[in-house]
Amino acid sequence: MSHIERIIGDPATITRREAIKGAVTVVISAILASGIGTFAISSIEKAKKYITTRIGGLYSQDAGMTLRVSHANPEVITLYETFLSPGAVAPAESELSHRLLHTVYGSDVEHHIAHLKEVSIEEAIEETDASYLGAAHAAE
Amino acid sequence: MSSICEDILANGVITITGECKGCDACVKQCPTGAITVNGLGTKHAIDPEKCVNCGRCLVACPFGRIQDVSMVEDVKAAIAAGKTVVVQPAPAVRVALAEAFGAEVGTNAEGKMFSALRELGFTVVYDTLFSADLTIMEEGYELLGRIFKSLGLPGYENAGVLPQFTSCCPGWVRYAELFHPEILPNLSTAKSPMMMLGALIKTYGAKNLGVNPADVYSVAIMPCTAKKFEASRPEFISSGYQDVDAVITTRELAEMIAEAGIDFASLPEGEVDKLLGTGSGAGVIFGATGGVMEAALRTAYAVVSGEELAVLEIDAVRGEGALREATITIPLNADLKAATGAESVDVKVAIVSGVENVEPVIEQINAGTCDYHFIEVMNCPGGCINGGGQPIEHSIF
Repeated sequence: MSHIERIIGDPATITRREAIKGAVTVVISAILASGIGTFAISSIEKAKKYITTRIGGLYSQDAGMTLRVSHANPEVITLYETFLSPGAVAPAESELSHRLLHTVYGSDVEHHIAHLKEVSIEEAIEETDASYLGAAHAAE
Repeated sequence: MSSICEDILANGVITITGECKGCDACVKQCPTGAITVNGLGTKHAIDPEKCVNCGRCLVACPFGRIQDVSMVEDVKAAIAAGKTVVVQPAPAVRVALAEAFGAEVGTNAEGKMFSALRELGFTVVYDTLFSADLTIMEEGYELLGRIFKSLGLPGYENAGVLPQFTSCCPGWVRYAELFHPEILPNLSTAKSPMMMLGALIKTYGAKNLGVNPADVYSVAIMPCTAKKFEASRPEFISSGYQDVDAVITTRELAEMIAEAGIDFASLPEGEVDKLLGTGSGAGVIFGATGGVMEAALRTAYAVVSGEELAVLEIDAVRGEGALREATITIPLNADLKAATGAESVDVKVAIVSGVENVEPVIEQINAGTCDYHFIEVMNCPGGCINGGGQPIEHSIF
C-alpha cells in the first residue's frame, strides 16, 4: 500500500466528519508547508549536531581517564573474587554469574521464571561458594 | 510488581495523547511501523504489539503530544518513606542532563549529576558505568567462547552460535523478539548493564551496605524510554525481588531537579559511592554508537593476545554511519597459538545505528552468508546519547 493510500484509506468509508477534518488539514498543511518544511530540515540538522556533540562529550571523558579498560576495573575484579566466583576472576562461568548477569529471550522466558522461583538466591550463592571455595580447599 | 509495571507490559510505554495533529512526523521516525494512521486528519495511535518503546516518535513530535509512562511519583514515595533508595545513572545521562539547565550541548556534568541525586534524597549513588564494565567481561567472554568453539578448541562445545549480537539495547531486544525470533540464539545472553547492576544492588550491594534487600528501592536514570519496559519484564527477579523497581529518564530527572528548586549550575562536583560505582572509560563510551564494540574489543584484545592495545581509540568502529564494519586482527597468546596453530585471529565486526538498519545483516544470517563475529545494534541513531528519554530542544519553536 502506498503512503497516500494508507493516509486516505478507502474513500467509500470516509465519513462526512472525516472529510471536513481532512479538508481543513489539507488547507492548514498548505499554509504551514513552508514553515513545517523548514522545521523538518532544521530539526534533522540539529539532531545530527546533537549526536556528534554528545558523542564528543563521552569520547573526551574516556580520553581523560586513567582507567580505560573494563578488565582493569578494581571493583569488577573484587566482585568476581569475593562474590561471583570466589577466589578467581572467572566471567560467565559460575552459577551466580549466570543467575544474576544473564537472561533468556522469547519463548524461553517462562521456563526461566519458573527456575528463578524454584531455586532461591541463597541456594545459588551456596552452590557457587561450594564449587569455588570447595575446589580451592581441595587444591590446598 | 507495581501496577505501573503491569500497565507497561500490557500497553507499552509510549502513548499518543489527545490533540494529535496527524502531521506524520512520528510515523517517519518509527522503526517498526507501529504507528497506525486511521484516515486523513485523524489522530494517530500506537500498536503495542509492534512498538519497541524507543520513544523516537516522542522526540520527533513537533507538538509534544507523545508521552511516556512516568514512574516519578513512585520514586518520590520511596524516598519519602525512608527506604534505602539506590540509584544508577547511565553513561549517556551525564552528557545531556546539563542541557536542560542551559549548558552547551555535550557538556559533561557527571559531578553535578551525583550532587543533584544526593540533594534529591537518593541514599546510595552507584553508576551504570560499573556494570557496563561488567557487561564487557560477561559478554566478551561469551563471545570468545563462541569464537573458540568455531575454531574447534576443546572445552567450548556448549558455547553459542556466531555471529553474536549485543543485548544491552532494550529496543533492539524487543525488535528481535517481535520480528526476528529466528536470530534469538545469536543474541548475547548477557543482561544489559542496568539489569546487571539491579540484580547486584539487592544481593552483593545490600549485603555490603548491611541492609535488608526488602527495604531497598532500586532506581535507574536512563536516556531511554524502552528501559521502563525492560525493567518491568517479569523475568528480572534474579535477586529474589524485582531487580530494578523504577526507571526515570534524563528528562524526568531534570524536571525533578528543577521542581526541587535545586540550582544545578552551582552544584559542587559530587562523588560516586564505592563498591558498585567505579567505571572505566570503556564503560563511558557505551553511550555512543560503536562504543560497546570498542569497549569489547579493548578487553578481547587483552585476553586473546595477553597484552593491552597500544592505542585504545579504535577509529575503525567510530563514526555515525547506519551500518559500519571493521576487521580487527588480534595476535594470539602462547596457549592459543599452540591450540590453534595460528599466529593471529581476524575478528570481523559490524555496528548498526538505528535498529531498522539491522535488516540486511539478518538477511545475511538467514542466508548463511554472514561472516561477522560480533554485531552491535543500537535502536536509536547515534546510540543512547540520542535516546528517547534525553532532553528535547524546544527552542526551535
